[in-house]
Amino acid sequence: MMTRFVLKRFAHAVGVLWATFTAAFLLLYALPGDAALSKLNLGGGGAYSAEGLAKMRAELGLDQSVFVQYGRALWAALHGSFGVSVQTGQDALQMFAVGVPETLTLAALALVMGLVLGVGVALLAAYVQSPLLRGVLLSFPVAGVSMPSFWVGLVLLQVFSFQLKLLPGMGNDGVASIVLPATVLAIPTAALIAQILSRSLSGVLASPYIATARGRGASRSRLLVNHALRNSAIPVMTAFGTMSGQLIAGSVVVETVFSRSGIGLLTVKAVLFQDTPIVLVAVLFAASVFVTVNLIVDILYPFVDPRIEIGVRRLDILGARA
Amino acid sequence: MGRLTIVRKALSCTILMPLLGVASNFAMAQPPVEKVLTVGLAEQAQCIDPQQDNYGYAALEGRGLVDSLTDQSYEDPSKIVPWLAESWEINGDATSYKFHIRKDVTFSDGSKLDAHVAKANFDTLSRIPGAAGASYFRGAKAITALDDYTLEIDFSQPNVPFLAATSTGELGLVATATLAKTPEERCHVGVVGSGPFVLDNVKLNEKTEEVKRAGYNWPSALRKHQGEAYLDRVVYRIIPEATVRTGALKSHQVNLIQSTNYDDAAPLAKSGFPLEKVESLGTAVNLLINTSRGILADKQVRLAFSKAINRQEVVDLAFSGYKIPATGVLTRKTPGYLDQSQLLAFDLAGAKKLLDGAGWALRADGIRVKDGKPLRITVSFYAAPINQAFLEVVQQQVRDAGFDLQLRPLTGGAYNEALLAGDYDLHRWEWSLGDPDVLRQLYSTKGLNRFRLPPENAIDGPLEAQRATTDPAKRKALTDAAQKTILEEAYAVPVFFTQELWSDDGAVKGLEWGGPGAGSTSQILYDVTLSSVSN
Repeated sequence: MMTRFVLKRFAHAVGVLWATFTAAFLLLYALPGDAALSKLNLGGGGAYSAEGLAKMRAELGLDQSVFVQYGRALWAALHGSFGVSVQTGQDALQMFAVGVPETLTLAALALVMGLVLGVGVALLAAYVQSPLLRGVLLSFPVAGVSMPSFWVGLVLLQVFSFQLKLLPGMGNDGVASIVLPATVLAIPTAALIAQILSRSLSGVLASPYIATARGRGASRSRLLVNHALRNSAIPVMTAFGTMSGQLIAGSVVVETVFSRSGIGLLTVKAVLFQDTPIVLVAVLFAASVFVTVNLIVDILYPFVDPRIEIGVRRLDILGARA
Repeated sequence: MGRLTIVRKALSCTILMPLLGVASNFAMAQPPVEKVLTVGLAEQAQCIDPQQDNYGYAALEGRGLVDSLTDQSYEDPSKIVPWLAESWEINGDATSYKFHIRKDVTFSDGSKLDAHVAKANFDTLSRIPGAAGASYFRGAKAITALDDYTLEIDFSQPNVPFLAATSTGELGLVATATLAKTPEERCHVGVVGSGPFVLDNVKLNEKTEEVKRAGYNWPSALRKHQGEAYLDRVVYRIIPEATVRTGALKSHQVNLIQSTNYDDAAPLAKSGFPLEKVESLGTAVNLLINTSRGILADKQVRLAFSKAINRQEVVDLAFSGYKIPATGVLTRKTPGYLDQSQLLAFDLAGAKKLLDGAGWALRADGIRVKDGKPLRITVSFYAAPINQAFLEVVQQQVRDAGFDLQLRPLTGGAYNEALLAGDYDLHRWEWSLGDPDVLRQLYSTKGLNRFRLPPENAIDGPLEAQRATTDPAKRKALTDAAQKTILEEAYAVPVFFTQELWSDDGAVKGLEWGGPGAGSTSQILYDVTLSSVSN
């Protein structure tokens, strides 16, 4: 059952990747201008000449029809080659791959911090008895989502790096430099997790089995963590897919504010320059991450909640079949 | 471990980690033994080859890596002095240049510089499509190494501006090992040059590090000392946000920043972070008019438009006074500058009179109309806040005369295509070059023909001729004639002269500027020292 499920999902994933590849390619093609124009910096100097432009376009293969260009790109992609970046002349996959570990570290750390913070706030809100305190705690997620991360980053930078001089404000050297960026990325993640979890927790806490456990003398904290938490986790896991997308997108802002190299800034510059190879790699990467995270989450469901079985069709659950 | 314990441990780890981070930061902050200059740049050029990049690499990070045949003084751009070439001869009509190259120059990989290497440099460069330096070799007939240290370049047409071109970073010389690489490889691996600094490592979009070249001893005649550079290391950090650059300077994470925020410049200067304003060489920031279409085909309307602009007010409102109102087509520091402030004076009454005379009647809402059509024109520009800012001021100003100016911000590709297709009424551009030939590069109908003039026009003649005139007085007469025509016909509307704002921490001494490269004034770090006194 599991194998069939995974295979089906894998086929589905390939379909998603192909679709995103095609959509990205066509969008880039449809945009005005092209990489040759960007490279020549049409704006000034003597670099431009009509023949120079034609020659460059021929060299980059941009003078072919859209079908030819697409076919070439797809064929090469299937063989693992995405061509060479128009901006730097480096192999697109290689150039992108250099930035991936940095962004992944940042995103992973932000995810962990966000998870801990979000779960912490939700648990705390469920734990406290005073409605006032609970109200205050539950307002944190709302605040976290409302504050633009750009602004939060700049404020943290000003306070912790420039005024208090506790942490470096830019670059990727060492543990110190990842703290502020990860914090900025973690806040919207934590907010989302806290929101979802606290909703889910309040639902679960109303269940009969909780009352039973309380009747048997379980302390408040024990109730929450040992009995309620696991059953409340499903909605949070479902949100992981969205969150991974959010983290990758958020890394663009964070990398700009904190002057870090990584795939975020790289992708933005490639889009503006219409550096197709890099954009295609970036899009495929994002799609792959999305698809993988969702697949992992789907596989983990039954481990968290044994009532869920993977790959079982709805009719079977309802007992329509034997 | 119980689940509760896990939660507790996780929470404490999350709190512990930032503290660890802070502690490690202090552990790393040792007093530096090296003399390191850290520069905060606003952008990073993507192609790290000074000969190829069209976005300013040759003026900043690339300038210290390569040397050029000659050097151009920023203070007096008509002064061109020896550098890698000890001396040179130019024939009567500037069709032949002969350079005598120094015999003691080596590249950072140990190879020697001679005329054969120089020839190979220029041969290779002129064949790379779209390379910044290649354009200077258009019309080059032959490049010959007459002997080991004499290089001759012959042009099929006279080429007076070529000498100034040899001082740019775009014509900086690289080693044979670099020439053996493909242009794409050079763009991401970098070049081996003979400059006072050597590329150490590059992290795309984050930083570039350069170290001192041991044994360097061939600075240009404009530099203040001999031998190696004073700095051991230069670190360029890319900090795209202006406020972050300011904060980085104030907290001493960098020594020098580029493009200081207007609002921060004065407060920084007051608290001991001096501001340096570097005026650009080249053209003013102009609004170029497409004279072939629509309402602006009428010269009276163009002249009225120019008169309606209060340039001082534009500078004060949009740039907090940190630009210079234009007084000519070229900036005032450029050789060949012609002062035409009369033609560029603010004259609202004059503008209104011209429009009345051209048949444009005033409507109730303040916009003028003629034959049922409103006086509506569109300015196309590269979408950036700095452009939006000053064009909005212009929009309000010209409305007083009855113009309905529409703003049309365009991003990269769309902007390029509009320019190529002539799909604009007005279009904003400028370019940096320490030579009046910049007029030809930008405005000649043989290039992009930005004014969209017909083949029979009044500016091509002088623009082509100045390129071929060796007599300085005659050349000035020609460039003056071109500039006069441009303003009297109102093909272009100069608005302001741009200047770059650089702030440092008070410890940076000996910072110098050079002739422009790929559109930006060159920054020279060779004579820079860091005094121990800073804020």
